Amino acid sequence: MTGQCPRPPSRVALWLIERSLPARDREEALGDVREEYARLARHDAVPARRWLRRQALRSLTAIPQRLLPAAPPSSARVSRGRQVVRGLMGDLVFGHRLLRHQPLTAFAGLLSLAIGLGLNLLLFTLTNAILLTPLPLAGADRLVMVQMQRQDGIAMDFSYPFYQHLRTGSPNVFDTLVAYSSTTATARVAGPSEPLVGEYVSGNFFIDLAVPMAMGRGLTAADDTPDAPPTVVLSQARYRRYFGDVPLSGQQITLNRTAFTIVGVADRRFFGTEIGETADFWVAIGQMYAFEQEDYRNRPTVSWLALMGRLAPGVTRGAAQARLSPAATSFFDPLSYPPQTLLLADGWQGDSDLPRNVGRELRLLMAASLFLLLIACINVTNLQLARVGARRHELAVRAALGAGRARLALLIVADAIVVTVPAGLIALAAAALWKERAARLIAIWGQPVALALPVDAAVAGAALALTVASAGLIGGLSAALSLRRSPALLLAEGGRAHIGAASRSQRALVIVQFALSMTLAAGAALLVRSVDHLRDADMGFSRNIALIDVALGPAGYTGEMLPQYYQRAFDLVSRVPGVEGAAIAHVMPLDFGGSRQTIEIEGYVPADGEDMELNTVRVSPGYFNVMRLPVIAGREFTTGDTAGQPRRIIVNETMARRYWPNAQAVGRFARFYAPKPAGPRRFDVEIVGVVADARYRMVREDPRPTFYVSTSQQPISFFVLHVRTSGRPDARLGEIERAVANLDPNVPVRRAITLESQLDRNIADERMARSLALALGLAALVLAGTGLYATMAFAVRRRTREIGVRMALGADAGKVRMMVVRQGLALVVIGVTVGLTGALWTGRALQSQLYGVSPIDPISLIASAAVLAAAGLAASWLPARRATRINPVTALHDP
Amino acid sequence: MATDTLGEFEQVILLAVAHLGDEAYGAAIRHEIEARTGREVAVGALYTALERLERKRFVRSEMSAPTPRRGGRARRLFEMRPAGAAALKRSHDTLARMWNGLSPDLRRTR
Repeated sequence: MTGQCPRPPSRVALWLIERSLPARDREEALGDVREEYARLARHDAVPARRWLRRQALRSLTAIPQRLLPAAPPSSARVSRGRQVVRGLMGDLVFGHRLLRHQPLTAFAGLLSLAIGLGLNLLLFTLTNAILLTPLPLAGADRLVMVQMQRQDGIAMDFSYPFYQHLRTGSPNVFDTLVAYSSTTATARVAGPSEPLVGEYVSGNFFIDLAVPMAMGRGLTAADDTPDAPPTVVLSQARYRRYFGDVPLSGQQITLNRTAFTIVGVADRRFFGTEIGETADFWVAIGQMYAFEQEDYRNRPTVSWLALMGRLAPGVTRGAAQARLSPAATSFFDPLSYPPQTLLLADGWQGDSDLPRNVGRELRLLMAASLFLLLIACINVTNLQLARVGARRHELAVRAALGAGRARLALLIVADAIVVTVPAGLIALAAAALWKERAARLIAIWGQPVALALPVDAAVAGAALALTVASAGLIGGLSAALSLRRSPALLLAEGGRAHIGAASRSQRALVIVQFALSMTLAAGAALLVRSVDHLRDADMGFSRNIALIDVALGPAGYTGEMLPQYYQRAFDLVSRVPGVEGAAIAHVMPLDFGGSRQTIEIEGYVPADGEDMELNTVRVSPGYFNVMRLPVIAGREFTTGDTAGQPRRIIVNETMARRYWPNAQAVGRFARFYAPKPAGPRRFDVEIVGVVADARYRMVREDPRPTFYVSTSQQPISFFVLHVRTSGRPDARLGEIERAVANLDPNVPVRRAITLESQLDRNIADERMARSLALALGLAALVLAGTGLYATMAFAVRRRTREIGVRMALGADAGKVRMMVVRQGLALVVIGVTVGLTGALWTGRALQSQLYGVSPIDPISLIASAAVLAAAGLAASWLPARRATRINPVTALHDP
Repeated sequence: MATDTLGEFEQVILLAVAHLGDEAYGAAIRHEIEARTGREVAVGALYTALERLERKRFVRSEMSAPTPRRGGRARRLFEMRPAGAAALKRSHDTLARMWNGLSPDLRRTR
């Protein structure tokens, strides 16, 4: 025995041992343990600690026995909370066992919920990526986009001198201010050249915003000058395409005939400055000259840069705006502009169009998918009610043995959890599996988007929240509906089944399901019809058009070379069988964009602030003939309209009607200013023809005043070849593309597409909404049908005896069948009728998205109702058939 | 309830209680078992089993007066009840009948 005080026993070990002991014996037993430990420790501390550790470890096996006993301990005081948990865990095990005996019910419930939760999570994953995810840049929450209030709207592009003025002239507003602008380039590493999308960025962009890099370095201020060797940062996807897994070692890429050294590769999380957009490369603004043979850096009036700032800590947006506007005014004053107001808009997603374009659709779809989840929950509730009905014996016995209503409710909630939690997990897995496929439906301005689709904490949180909400809804609803009456009464009803309260609740639930399904189905039908109308919309021109987008400028074509190229392209293309004619225009039709130019109309005085910037398209002679765009008055452009002659334009019908309402437009004059770097050059132009209206930018646009300029008077180096074929051009597209590509290997084909496909891209947002709505509608249909089937099958099972008696007394099979079908259809009819209200509401919510369809379109409503009725018929027919197969003798023998 | 069969650990505990007589409190039971079997007994398992035996009415327990020797703590004394003795006897008889005709090395003696 030593005089030292031995180390006290481990508190963790004591705590564990304590947990394993009955409450009444804790004090005594722990006292023993301490004594024993002290006794052992007196001789040697090591075996004492070992002994205590062994005791603690073995108490672990005793603890579960304490927590999950078959019956509560007789005299022990157990806290209420623990009692609930203990009971719930027992119920969970029991519920799980019961489910294993009813695999079909379990499967149906699980599948319903997995579908409902899965579609919700899928949509949420998209919504999360598009509407909730910031750019992967430092301090993204403080990023703002600089905008300028103008009379006719909001300007979002600025000149380079203005950027520098703002950067130096407004201290204490931003902790950084960067500039960028998107561009395209013809790129070549090895093999054929191809078009890429990129961004010019200011020298501080990569460092100040801490752009995540995969390899190498970002661009710096040293790169941002024309004297620096040309450098570029590539996107990870692009780098992989060119170099695979080869590490970065000074490789080069040729962009528009200048060789750039690749100094870095941006991480794959960084797609560019806008959510959903993809940039392939980044080049410093200072190297614009090497890039485009043109430099806007010293042009104070050429606006081409987006400005993104990060507010200095503690500076509010309002304060920043107030401090910036004087800076803007001091810049524009010498240029004799009126005082300017600068605005700051949210920049945490960059200046992204995607959230604006599809945000409304996504929100509506999220609402619709919550409806679907509700239908799924009702399905499960319905199945639960059936199971509670089947368990009424057991519940009655439990009630008789003293289980209170709360205890029974707990039992039912446990049942709900047994189904919901696995469904939630399946849904999360399914969402992770299919997210990329769903994202393919999302497009921005017709182009497929590049989205980072993380299954992150937000998605996991949504999964958890939805699962818990579903469990609560199902459990609560089942418990409330099945325990409405005193549990003691359950015993009185005992085993003898008849159509009772539970069944009435089930019917009510089926009605709600069909009402919700009607709402969803009608919405889906409206969107389907709307897209059909968009597809069939009259464009004003022929649809048998193949479009080949070509950039001659970067290949060095100028002056006389351009018309020569056009002519050779026409000749080569017309040798392809089935080609009826070819022409060029400077913009891709149905591509959302186009050119606008300010024009003065002779004899027309614009109202104050009237927008005289009109759509303009430069087209080659023969264009209107190729496009089958009727010339209403005057003539079409001919090769006789040459550069030396006075300018001639052709206007569309809307323009003619607007500016010369009571007279001939042909022969009149107008004037416009050509946007030339050397300053405004004024042209007087004569109107030589009027053509029919056509949709040029979008299918969903009303015809706007548009004028056409001939390329024979003003050649263009970027153009789209329009080729008309005798039938659909799909089969000929490849051949036509090859013909153009073979003309000059240095001129890449930027896009080869049929007009029909271009149309599909133009309505990509609508098609996305339609596809997802259709998926939701179909899922709702299946779920509601399953719900009805389960209810009717259950009702038939419970009425086996009654039906048996009827049949024994001579009712024929047809009558019995009709009886069941009639009951089922009655529920459908009531549900659909109630759902009509919801359908009208849906129509109103969708109104702005619809095209050519009224929000109360009778065809959509009738079609949805008919489909639901058909599903209802099928869902009641199967149980009805089973009813007629009941053998009266066995039915009467059965208890 | 009274016809419940006893698990091995339960038998061991009941036998320890029988051995200890008036001194059958928790720690003593544990020491008795450890001393006789050479097996270490988990405190938690012991008390849980004792509680179960009490519920089955095989033992009864009462709190003894605090003893100065044990730092003033009261201790629970266990006592065999007739049902416990009967159950032990049944277990013993069952085993005895099964052993009947076997030598300890499991050779048949007849």
